[in-house]
Order: sequence, then structure tokens, then C-alpha cells
Amino acid sequence: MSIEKKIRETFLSVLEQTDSVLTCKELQDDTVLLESGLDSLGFAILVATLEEELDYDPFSMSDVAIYPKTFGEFVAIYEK
Amino acid sequence: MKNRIFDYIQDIDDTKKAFIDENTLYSYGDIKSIYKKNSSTLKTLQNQQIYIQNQNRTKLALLLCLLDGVASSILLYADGVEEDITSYHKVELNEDNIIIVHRSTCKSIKTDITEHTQWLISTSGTTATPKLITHTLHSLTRTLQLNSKRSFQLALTFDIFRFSGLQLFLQSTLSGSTLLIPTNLQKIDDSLKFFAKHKCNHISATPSFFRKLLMSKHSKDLNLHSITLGGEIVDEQILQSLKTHYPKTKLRHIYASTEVGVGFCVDDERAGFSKELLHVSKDIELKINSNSILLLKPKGCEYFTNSGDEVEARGDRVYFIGRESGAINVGGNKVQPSEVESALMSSKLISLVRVYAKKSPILGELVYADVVSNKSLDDKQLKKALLVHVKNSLEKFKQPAIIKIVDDIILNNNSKIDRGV
Repeated sequence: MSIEKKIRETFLSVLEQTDSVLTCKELQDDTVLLESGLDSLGFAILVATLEEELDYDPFSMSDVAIYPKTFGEFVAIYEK
Repeated sequence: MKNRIFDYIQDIDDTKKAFIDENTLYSYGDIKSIYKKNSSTLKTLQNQQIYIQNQNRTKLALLLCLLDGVASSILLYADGVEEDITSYHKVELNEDNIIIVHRSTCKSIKTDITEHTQWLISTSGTTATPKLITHTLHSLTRTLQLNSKRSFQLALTFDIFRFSGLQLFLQSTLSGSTLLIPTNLQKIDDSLKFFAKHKCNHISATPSFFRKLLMSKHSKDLNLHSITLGGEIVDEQILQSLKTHYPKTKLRHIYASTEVGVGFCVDDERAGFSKELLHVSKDIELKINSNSILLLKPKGCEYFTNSGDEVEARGDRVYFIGRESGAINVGGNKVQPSEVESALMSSKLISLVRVYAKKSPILGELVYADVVSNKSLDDKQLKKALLVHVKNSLEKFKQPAIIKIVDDIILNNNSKIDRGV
């Protein structure tokens, strides 16, 4: 499974886990993360769940903190 | 000698703005008129015990300006506080800024103000039940640097009924600055737009708030003179990111303990604090005990108080590790592992559980749970069922972010669950 597909799948399951709903039609590269329906707790759970599944967390691995604004930027961080 | 908040306000220019929220603006002159308008009610509240509950932040700020120095004690009521409030009068400020008093039916207990009004505020629940801590204007402001010559536009990112919010409110009001009060902090874009519109030049908030701020495109609209981080452990990463994002902004982080009422400030833009602070005492003395817990002794106190914060000395610095009690700090909200463990065990789907903190680059820490299944469900179903089960009994931030199904959980020599990560 491609990383992007995995992220999409996990994103939707975290929305369900946190009783949230996608506030846009679908996740696109330019979807603004803070407007997608996931709050910061949901976002933290997403990064934690991806770490469990992919065995790495690019946010903690990086020396300089990265703060993605869009879904596309978020995926790109994992694809690096 | 200024003994109450209103003494400070009286010296401030009427035209200066005190509080701005998304609908209203109050100048210092407005606060003086509201005080005048309520003077007869205030007389009846002299030396009485009162409590305030469920007021919006702006009204609460106004009430505190009016009542400090009048009531003998003010209880800032927060959810979960276990205190008998039957002898307290409930006070609120209505839409026209008239004080409404719901008198206690108990025989009122009149206590003379010895020196200052006592403020009873709740801890954020580091212990299982929030505790009430007594403060006075004096104890809350002794380490604040008040400079009325330089006004700031300060963003309020905490609740005023909590220690950190109360300090920010006092910092702003006593120095004639403006407090910007957003309606809903969860809506970060709206809050940042509001801060930018009113030319906010200082934000004091948790590292988790700043991580979220950096994800918003509106973060670039702010022209900040200074930033203060507190309420959670501040790491090197967030300091570096803020430095890159706001190169001209002064950065500092604050360590404060609600229990002790004071803390200290670190302004060298590095995580932790310099070891030198252990030897130099100014307003507060610091010591590390044999269990690596930080002890504090404010000036004028005879004893050291246990802060409950575990620290580690490395090189020339001392770093914060976490809470002695094992409490997990999820974006500033404290979670007791034992509470989460009992909620999970009550599902009767598992035989053993261990709840612990794991570092999160987004929220500081998250709640993790290792569970041993009793095999009534398969692994996937079990995780789902446990999450559904805890939804009814635990607030969102207390629910496990990650549940791992393991074969066994190792107990330590005292037959306790080892929470070390």
C-alpha cells in the first residue's frame, strides 16, 4: 500500500476514533489540515498511529520542527 | 500602598483599553464606571465569602476587578471541585454589568479581611481530584514585573479561573495593558485573526498551543514583541521553531507551580534551566531531592515544597522529565493513569492493563495503554470495543490515543505496574 493511501486510511479511522467528521468533501493535497475536521488531539493521535503502523515518526526524527499546513505537505513529510 | 486590583486601576488613564473580546471593548474608564454603578451592592458584599461560576471570561475579569479587596474570599469554581459552597454567596455580572447576588441561605459567615482577599483557585488536577489552593493578590503578583509605562496587547489563551490565566489577567490589568479575550480557542484560525486585528504583541501559552499556531497560515500575520511558554514541558524543538518563525521576538519560558504560587522564568531561549539556579537564590530557592524531584522555597517561606516535578541534570542544564505521580500532560490537561486503567478494566474485556505517557511531537504527551486480552474478542474488535467503552466515562483527552494488545505486563518488585517508558 502506498504511504499516501495508508495516511488517508488512518486519517479517516482517527476521525472516527475521536468522534469527528471530515469537514471537507474529500482529502485533497490543498486541504488545510486545521480545517479538515481533526482537532489537535486528533492530529496528535494520527501521528502516533502512523508511527505504530509505519515504525517511524518524521516529526520527532527531524531536528527542526516541521509544521505542515495542508494534507499534501503532511504526506510529503512521510514520503521523504 | 496598593492592596487591591482596583487601587491599580484608579491610577490608569480612562481611555486605555482593558479588555477586548470579539463583541465588546472595555476601557479602564468603563471599569471605573461599572464599579461606581455597583457600589451599593459591593458594600453589602464587604467581608463576605463568595463564589463565581460559569461566567464568560470577560465578565469574570470585570468581576475580579470589582470584588478583590471587598469580599473576604473569592472561590473561582471549576468543574470537579469538591468544596462545600453552601455558606458562599454566588455572584454574577449580568448583561448590563450589574452585580447579581444569589445569597446563601446559610447563616453567613463574616470573616474580616486580614490583609488581602483570599482567592481560592483549583489546581488542574495533577492529583486525582482538583485541589483548592489559596492565594492573594500579593502572592500572585510578587514575581510579576509590572511596568505601566509600556502597554502590551496580551492574548489570553488560558481560563482566568486557573492559575496561569489569573496571572496573565493580573499582569495585563495591573500594568494598564490590554487583554485580548478570544471566544473559542479551539478555532485557532479565528483566534489568530482576532489577535492580529487588535495588534496583539504578546502571547503567553502552552507549547501545544504554539505548535498549533505554527500550523496556521495566520501565524505570519502576528507581529509579536514577546512570547512566553508555560504549562507544559518546553522542548528545544518548539523554541527553535518559534525562533525561526519570529526572529525578532523575545522568547522565554516560565515554570510555575500552582501549589507554591510562584515559579521562575528562563530567558536564554534554551529548554530546561541553568544549573546555576540551584545555587543562586533570588525570589525562589531550588533544590533537587534524592528522587530527582524539584523542591521549591519561595522567598519568605521557611520550608521547601515538593513540586511533584521530576527533573534530570545533564551538562550545564536541568531538564523537566514529567510528573512524580506519573500524571500524563496532554496539551496542558493532566491525566491520571490509574483513572484510565480503571475505566478500561471495567469493560471486563481485558485481564491486565498498563497506562503510560508517550512523547508526542504535537501535544507534548499522549495516553498509551497496553492491555492483555481475556480472549473474548479478536484484537481488532477488542481495540474498538475498549474505545467505545471509555467514551462514556472519560473526557476526550483522557481516552487512550493508542491501545496495544500485549501478551503480558511486567510488574515491578512491589507488584505494581511499571510505568517507566
